[in-house]
Amino acid sequence: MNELEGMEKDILTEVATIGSGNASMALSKMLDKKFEVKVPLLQLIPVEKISEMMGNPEQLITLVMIKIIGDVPGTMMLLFNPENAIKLAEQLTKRIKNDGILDEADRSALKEVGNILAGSALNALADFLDFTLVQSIPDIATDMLNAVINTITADLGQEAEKVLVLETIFRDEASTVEGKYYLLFDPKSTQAILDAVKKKINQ
Amino acid sequence: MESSKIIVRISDFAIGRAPAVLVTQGIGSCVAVCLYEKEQKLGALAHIMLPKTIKITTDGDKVNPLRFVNTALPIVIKELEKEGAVKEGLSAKLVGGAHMFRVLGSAEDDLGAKNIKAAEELLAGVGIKIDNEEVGGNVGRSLEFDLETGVVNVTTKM
Repeated sequence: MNELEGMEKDILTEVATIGSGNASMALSKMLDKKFEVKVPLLQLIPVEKISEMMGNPEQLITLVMIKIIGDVPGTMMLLFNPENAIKLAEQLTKRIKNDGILDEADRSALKEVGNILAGSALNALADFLDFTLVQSIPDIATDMLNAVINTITADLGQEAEKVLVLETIFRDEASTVEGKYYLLFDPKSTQAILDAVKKKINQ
Repeated sequence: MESSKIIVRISDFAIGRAPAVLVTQGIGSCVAVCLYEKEQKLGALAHIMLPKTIKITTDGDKVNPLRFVNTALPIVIKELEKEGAVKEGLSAKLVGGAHMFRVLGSAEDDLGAKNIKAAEELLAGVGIKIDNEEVGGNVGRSLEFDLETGVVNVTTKM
C-alpha cells in the first residue's frame, strides 16, 4: 500500500470522525462542557516522518498512549502541550496547580481520560466495522516530542514502512484546553478497515 | 561555531570533520551511535530506530536500511572508511535506548534495551571499542558531538 485512493480517504476520514466524535462526546460528558473536534487529517507516511508532522523535535509534550489490540492492531495517542495537560488535569481533579508539574494524581486522571476516549472511540469503531477491539492499559509520558513519538513509531516501524495517521484536534468551546487525538494503523490494519467498510457498503 | 552544526534526523546519519558538530534531537528508545577517529578528527553520527530488520509484511514498500542497527551501522562504517578512517582507529559512544513506556515492554526487553544490545554486539563484532555510554533510564536525550574534541554532550529536558 503506497497511496490511498479518493474513496479510501473518504472511508478512513469517516472512520476517524466516528472515533473522534465519540471520544469528544465522552470527554464532554466527563467534564460537563462541550468539546468540538475538527475534521480529521489523514496521512499515510513513513514512520520516520510522523514526529516531524507533529511539531519541533525538542518541544515538551505530554502524551497518553494506548495500544489497540484485536482485529486491527494500532495505537491511540492524546497529545497535549504540558500547559494544556496541567489545565485539563486541574479540571479533572478539581485542584489548582501552581507548581506546573504533573503529579501522580494528575497522571492518573489524564490516563483515565485516555481510557475513556479510547473506549468510546473503539466501541464505536468495533460496532461500525464489526471488529473485536481491545485496548491496553494507558501509559503517559512528558518529554521531548521526538523522544516520545519516535519511541511509539519505532514500535510500529518493526512491521511497516508506512503508517496511517489520523489526527483530530479537539478543544473546549472557551478554548481553555486543546489537544490532539491520534489513531495510528499499519497498512495491514488500514487494509482490514477498508475491506470491512467496503463489505458494509456492498451489503 | 553555530553554522557548523549538522542535524541528523531519525533513520539517518552524517559524517563530518572538525570543526563540524553533529547534532541529533529527542532520542527516546532509539540509539544514537557516535563514531570517532581522533587522529583525523573525523566522525559519524547515526540515529537508529530499531535493532534489526524484521520482515515487513507490507507489499511493495521498500524499507530504509538506516532504520535498523544491523543494516545501518555497516553502511556508516563503510562510508567512514571511504573518508579515510581505519576501523582500528575508531571508538564509539552510545546514547539513548530509553524506556519511555511500560506498555511497550519491560525495561529489560523493550526496544530501547534491544537497540543498545544490538549496537554493542555489532560494534564488538567489527572490533570497534565503545568508550562511553549514556543509555537506558526513562528520559529523552539530545546530543552534540564535537568533532574537534570528540566530546559528546548529552542534554535532557526532564
